[in-house]
Amino acid sequence: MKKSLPTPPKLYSRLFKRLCRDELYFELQGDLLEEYWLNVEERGYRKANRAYKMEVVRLIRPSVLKLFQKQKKHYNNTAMLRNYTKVAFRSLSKNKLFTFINITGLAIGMSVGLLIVNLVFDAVQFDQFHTNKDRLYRVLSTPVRPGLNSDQSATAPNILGDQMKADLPGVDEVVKIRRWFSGRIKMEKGSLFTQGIYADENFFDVFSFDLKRGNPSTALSNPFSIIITETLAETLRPGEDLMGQILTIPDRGEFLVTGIVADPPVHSHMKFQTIASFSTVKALEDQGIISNNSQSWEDYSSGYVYFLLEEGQRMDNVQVWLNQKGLDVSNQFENLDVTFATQKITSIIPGKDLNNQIGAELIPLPIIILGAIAMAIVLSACFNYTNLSIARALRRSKEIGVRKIVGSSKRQIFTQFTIETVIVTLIAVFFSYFLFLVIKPLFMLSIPRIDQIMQPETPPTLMIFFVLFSIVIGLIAGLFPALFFSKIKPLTALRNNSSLKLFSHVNIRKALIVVQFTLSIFFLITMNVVSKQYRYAMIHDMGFEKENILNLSLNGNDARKLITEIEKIPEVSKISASSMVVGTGASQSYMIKNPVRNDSAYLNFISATPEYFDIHDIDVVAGSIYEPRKPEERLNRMMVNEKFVEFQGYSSNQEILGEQFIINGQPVTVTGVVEDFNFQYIEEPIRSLVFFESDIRFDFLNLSIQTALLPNTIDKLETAWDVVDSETELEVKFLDQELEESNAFLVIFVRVFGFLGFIAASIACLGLLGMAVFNAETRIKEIGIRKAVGASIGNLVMILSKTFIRLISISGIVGSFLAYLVLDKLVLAQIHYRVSIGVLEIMTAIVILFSLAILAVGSQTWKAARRNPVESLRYE
Amino acid sequence: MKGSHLGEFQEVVLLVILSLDDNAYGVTIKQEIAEKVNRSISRGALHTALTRLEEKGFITSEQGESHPDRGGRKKRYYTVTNKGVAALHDAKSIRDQLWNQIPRLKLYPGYDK
Repeated sequence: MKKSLPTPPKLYSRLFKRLCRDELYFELQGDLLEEYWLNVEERGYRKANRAYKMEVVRLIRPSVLKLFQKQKKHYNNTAMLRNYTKVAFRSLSKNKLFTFINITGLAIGMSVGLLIVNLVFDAVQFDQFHTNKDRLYRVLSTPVRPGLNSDQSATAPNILGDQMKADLPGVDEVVKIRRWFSGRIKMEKGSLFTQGIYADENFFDVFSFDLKRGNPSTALSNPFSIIITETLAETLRPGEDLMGQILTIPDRGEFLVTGIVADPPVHSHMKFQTIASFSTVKALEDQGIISNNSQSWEDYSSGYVYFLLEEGQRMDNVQVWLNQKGLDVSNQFENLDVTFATQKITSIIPGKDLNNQIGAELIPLPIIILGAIAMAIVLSACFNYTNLSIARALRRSKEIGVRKIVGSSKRQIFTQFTIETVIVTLIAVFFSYFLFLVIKPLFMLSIPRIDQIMQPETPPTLMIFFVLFSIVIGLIAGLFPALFFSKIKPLTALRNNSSLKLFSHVNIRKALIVVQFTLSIFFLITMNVVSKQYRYAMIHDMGFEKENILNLSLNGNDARKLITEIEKIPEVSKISASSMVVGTGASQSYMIKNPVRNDSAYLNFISATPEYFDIHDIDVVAGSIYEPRKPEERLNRMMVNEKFVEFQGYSSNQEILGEQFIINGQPVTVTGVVEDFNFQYIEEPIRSLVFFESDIRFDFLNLSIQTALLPNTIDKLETAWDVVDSETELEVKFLDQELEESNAFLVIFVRVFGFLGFIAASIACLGLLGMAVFNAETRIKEIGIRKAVGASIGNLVMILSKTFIRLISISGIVGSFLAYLVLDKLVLAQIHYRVSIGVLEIMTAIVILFSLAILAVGSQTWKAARRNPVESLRYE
Repeated sequence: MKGSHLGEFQEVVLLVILSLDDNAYGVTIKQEIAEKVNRSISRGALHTALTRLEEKGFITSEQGESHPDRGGRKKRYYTVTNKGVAALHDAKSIRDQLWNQIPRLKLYPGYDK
């Protein structure tokens, strides 16, 4: 017999082993080998090798391949499932601490996930109730005008709708809608402010709003017809039938109620309380009550055009027509360049970020960001589960060994562990739901206008999605442990625990801990930095006086009349009228033409009386404030800020005095220059600004008052207000308070990130706690021996905590770096007047997390280290 | 009765197993077929045939000793069952019957000359 036999081609042997059924492998491979060696002796290597290869290839047939092996049928499936569930509950109750850690972590993490599930659930249902939703579109426009931002807008000139109806084949219906039919409806006592729209008579043919009373095809035919919602009808005249009655809207006229409509569904992008017939617009324009815009190609802020595409028609034709129209309009107007696009009604929410939305909007980006963050947190909780399960494999491996020996297949073990995980996540989603009920109202309070998207109540269908969500999370969290356990070899598992390849996954586990802590640090630093920005915004010198200025909304009343009334109140020292509350938002703009350079730009303006500058403590750096003079001369004078001087190309403030600019075709002379101040948000750099005194633009009165006498003053103001307007309530607010409110989004940011940071940190710490417990348990003998030979408790704590401390330090460095990059380069980069990220913000986050982590690790190691070595060595 | 039909190749395999007596396993069966029947078949084809025969209950198999000649792998020995022998007899009698029905002349052309 030969000492060493030749080996057949290895690749083919390996291939065969891979493919061949286990129970056939030994005899077939034996036959192949025997024949091979015979062949080698008789015919030589080359021929033997070739024959061997041929044999292997020809053995590739269904009766040999694993692939075609029929799964053994398990007729006792339900019994096995019951067994899995039972074993799952037993093992969960056996390891109460780990179960607690897992369920708490998953419940906390999933509560954020449920919030997102809820948000998405609501968002995708938007406008699904329209029967024509598949061919219902609206026109979007992008007007580009010099000096103005050129964002896409949900609006389109109404005249475009008329032309579409007349010229464009392939469109069934066109509905023109116009917003700002808002006003106070007179009631028996006082009046009620309502939000409304104007709409064409075919409104109900196209949209599926439920008209309860009235004729859908004629209700909106005549001018001064109005349709009101059921709720509004009930509020206006409880128990009375309003059909055919007259409603008086002071600024608009008298309206005949021609229909009662059900309240617009929650999931409608369009919300209204009243609908007036579109023919009313023309009538009001003719009467000079509203400005003459509905036939203008330059109006991109109030009209909407919806249309119903003919069935089977393609959108291309419409787009071609719209493109041509855009070109025509752009050629017609010197300072306007416009393009039109279309948007399907179901893509409005969630949809693009557009200007001038008719109702709610939900842009996908914040949702994606929020979703990503929520996903990161949920996954972080899943990591914990994975981590702890695998760490505990030592304890489960014997069970798996026995199971496999009595005939469990890999697949069965996999199923068992997946079921166990899903049970854990189902228990967790139960607790998570209660957490969700707590955080949902907070969430809805802190995100502005989210109530237009999300319903406060939780419908039962949503529960199904919650359960599905938890099952998906269970599958994700359980995948890795289930794979790991199903691969355990029964012999190794039973023979010797230590030979299990347990610690091959140590690096993955460490990486997961680092990821979790990095995430937590990131959120905490974000919270710190944003709250610093908020504090900065609050004390930032905007360049004007914030204290003791009370702003009064005119609500359409005559400013001069009210001023004469309020001047009688001694507590009000100074008083001015103006068009905007300074520092709280975008101002209005006008096209201003420079006659010398012959170019024009839209520039911001504030309409203000001369007292305005004194009240707000805005210094005049050149020239003088325009004088009070006769009304017809007021519009010929203006003040500008220093940025304007620079923008118009003058080298000094003196030079611009007396220069003339063209506004609305009228020459206007510059009388003075004021210092620059933040008239818009703090996020924006200071831009060019002009002041003039235009009575029709006044929306507010600015009162300089002494706060000490406030309640008294407010009473007197109310008396004065009643003289001018007996119907509406007085609305006043302090300037500093309004500024605070305009920065409220930063507070939201702080809250949201603080909350996320808290959640991420607690999940991370729970995971760390679990790992520390596990670590202390597995090294119990080592600790006992070390202690017996003289290690001190301090030494032992050091030894046990070392790894964790190192991991958290890495996370601290990575997290701070990441937070610095994201915040400095992305978030704060959007803000003009911003804070820098200091060491303090980073250090506090790190210190908070470090102390939590040390608490988690320290408590466990301390416990382990203090144990009597006699006990721990006797253990088992 | 489908499932008990004895295919031609299967019949050969059965006969070879019987002729090999107690030394019938993969390699010997294959060699015997190659030498006596003059048919070169692959181990895969043989495997399929053996599996079918075993499914039909014509043969049984048992694991035998391992041998260094085959890398220490065990052999699987095949024996023909009574049912298998009966099936062989059936096949043979059907053939004999057919043989007997054929006029001599057709089988041995030129015999009467």
